[in-house]
Amino acid sequence: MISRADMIDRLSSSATAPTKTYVVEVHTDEPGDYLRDALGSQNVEETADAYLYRVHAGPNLSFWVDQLDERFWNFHTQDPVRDALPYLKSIVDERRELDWMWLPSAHLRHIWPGATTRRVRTEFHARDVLDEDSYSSDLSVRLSGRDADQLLDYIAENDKYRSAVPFDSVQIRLSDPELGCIDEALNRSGRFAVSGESIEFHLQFVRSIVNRYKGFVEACERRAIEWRPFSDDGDPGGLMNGAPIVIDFSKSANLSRLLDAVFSSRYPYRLWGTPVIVDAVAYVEAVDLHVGRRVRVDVGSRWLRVYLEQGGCGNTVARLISNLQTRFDSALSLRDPELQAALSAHAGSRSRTMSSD
Amino acid sequence: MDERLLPVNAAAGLVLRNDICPAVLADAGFRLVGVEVSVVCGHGRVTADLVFFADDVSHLLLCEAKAGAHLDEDQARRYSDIDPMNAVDASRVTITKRVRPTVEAIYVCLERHAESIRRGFASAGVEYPLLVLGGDKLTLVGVELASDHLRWALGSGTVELKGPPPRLIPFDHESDESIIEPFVKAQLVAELSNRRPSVSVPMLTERIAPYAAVLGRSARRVLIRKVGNVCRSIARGDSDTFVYQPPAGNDDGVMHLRRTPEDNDPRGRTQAYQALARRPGSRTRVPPPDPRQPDLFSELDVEDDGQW
Repeated sequence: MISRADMIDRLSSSATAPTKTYVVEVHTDEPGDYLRDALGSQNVEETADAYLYRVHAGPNLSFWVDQLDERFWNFHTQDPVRDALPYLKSIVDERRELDWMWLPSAHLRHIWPGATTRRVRTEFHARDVLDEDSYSSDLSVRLSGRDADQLLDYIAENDKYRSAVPFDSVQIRLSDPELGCIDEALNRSGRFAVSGESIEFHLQFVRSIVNRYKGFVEACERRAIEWRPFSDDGDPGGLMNGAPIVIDFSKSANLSRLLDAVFSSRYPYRLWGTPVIVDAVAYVEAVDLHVGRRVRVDVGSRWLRVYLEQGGCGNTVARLISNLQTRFDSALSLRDPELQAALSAHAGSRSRTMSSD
Repeated sequence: MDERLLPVNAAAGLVLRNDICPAVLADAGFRLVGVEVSVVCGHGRVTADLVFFADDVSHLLLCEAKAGAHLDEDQARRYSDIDPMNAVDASRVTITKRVRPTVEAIYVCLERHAESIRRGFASAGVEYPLLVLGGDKLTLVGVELASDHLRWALGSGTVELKGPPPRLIPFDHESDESIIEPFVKAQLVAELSNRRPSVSVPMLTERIAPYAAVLGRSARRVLIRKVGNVCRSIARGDSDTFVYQPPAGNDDGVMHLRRTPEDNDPRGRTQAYQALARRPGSRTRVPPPDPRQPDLFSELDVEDDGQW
């Protein structure tokens, strides 16, 4: 039976056949059964590793599915992105229990301590939200070269543009005396591609990025509002825990345009809602169509409140933030200091010393 | 949000750190320890809408949020006769420091009802500090009646609000059905997106008002009835999508979902959801810029597909 070691041996990190890793968030208590149901039981092959599956999705498309993180599964493949991505997209779009990662801009900006950035891409598209006289309603920059991220920092130093420079994708070079040297590319949806000397290095790099993101998502979930009766006998009385999460904008929103964009049911927000505006504040009972859950939102011109209910998914908040960063305000912040730290965190200390080339 | 519930939400917001409105009670060491807490007092009992507790000084703050202008004078008298130890037991707080517990009551109301509430106090022969919500501020009326703990929390007596109070309890069993309707509609859309064929009215109520569990059995019963009425109204307005089956005998009311936007292709799905967002008879909005309008820049150059 094939094992995890086989996966590591077979996944290539050569420059001509890079391994791609797609991270998918999954809500299920039965990971094995769910995988078979979603991808077709005839396509799913068990391995000697209880957390690892081989998926044969088509004649020229196969994945290794690693469920070691039971919430954020890794789909590894060497097959072309033109085949792999549409396949996964169709499954994630169809199922309410599945979603992508939605990395905040700062998680890409501070991807790894001391890493040398080789390539960056920023994509800011706010034409439908910002007024025509805004300084930057669309900004796309792709830059290759050593310390490529410094150009974006330079642009962001200008107050006119600082809210229009979200990190969409980065490519960095990592080197380690024992693990070797790899080039890692990743984007805000949790898609990775690697070439270089060590697939193990890649797997651990992915896990590190996922863990930091998961920390943010779970911190959001700890703010979920919960109502707990004192007793089960139906008498009044109980406790409330939790609080709304407040996003502060770095600039004023044209409320009507922002609401039209965010609550239109369209990709990428995929939020359904009928805002009611009273005294320049919008109140929305929205539905997150990605996961099929209601979420309450209040929106002012300089802030947004999200009420996550008990059992709600922190990925909803992460997705909203990531999309607001790329479509309205990349310089937004969270009022809760712990959440803001998780949103903007640099990669934490590592047990091994990594160096960059 | 039901305007009646602005006072209770505004008061609860005073312990929410990192909200738009300042958490002056939290900053003074108070935390929310109970909602709808019944406390036995000399001549009966009172049910405080909110109970706050300051651990360091073992001080309990019983908050009575008035939805309207009417003051229940008997209730107001009972608030003056509460044994702090009863309040401790009723709210189930753990006193971590050996400081004798104290208790005080505070009323909260909308500005336009403040005078009526104060007349009610006079008529009942009682006096309480009154927190008045008006415009974008909360003002403490009767500062001299407040404990040192409360005065310290509220400083000059005026709390400037930077935005509306949080909508922790946006409606309750006394709210008009028109206020409840958007919440029911949103939850039905969530059910549609999950392809659920039906949902019972009690389940729907639980999902849109998880706080109903702390309001008590009778309030929950009234709320379920109102949610059922809203379902009937929604089904009448969109019978292609919804069918309401009223309660009969021991069977709860059920909302059946006949078709879901999820059955459409991706573009049709989005349009179907957008159609559900439109209110019957609502005027046509000025359309936002069409996101499908091509980027004219892309007409000048060959676009890199951006895939690595």
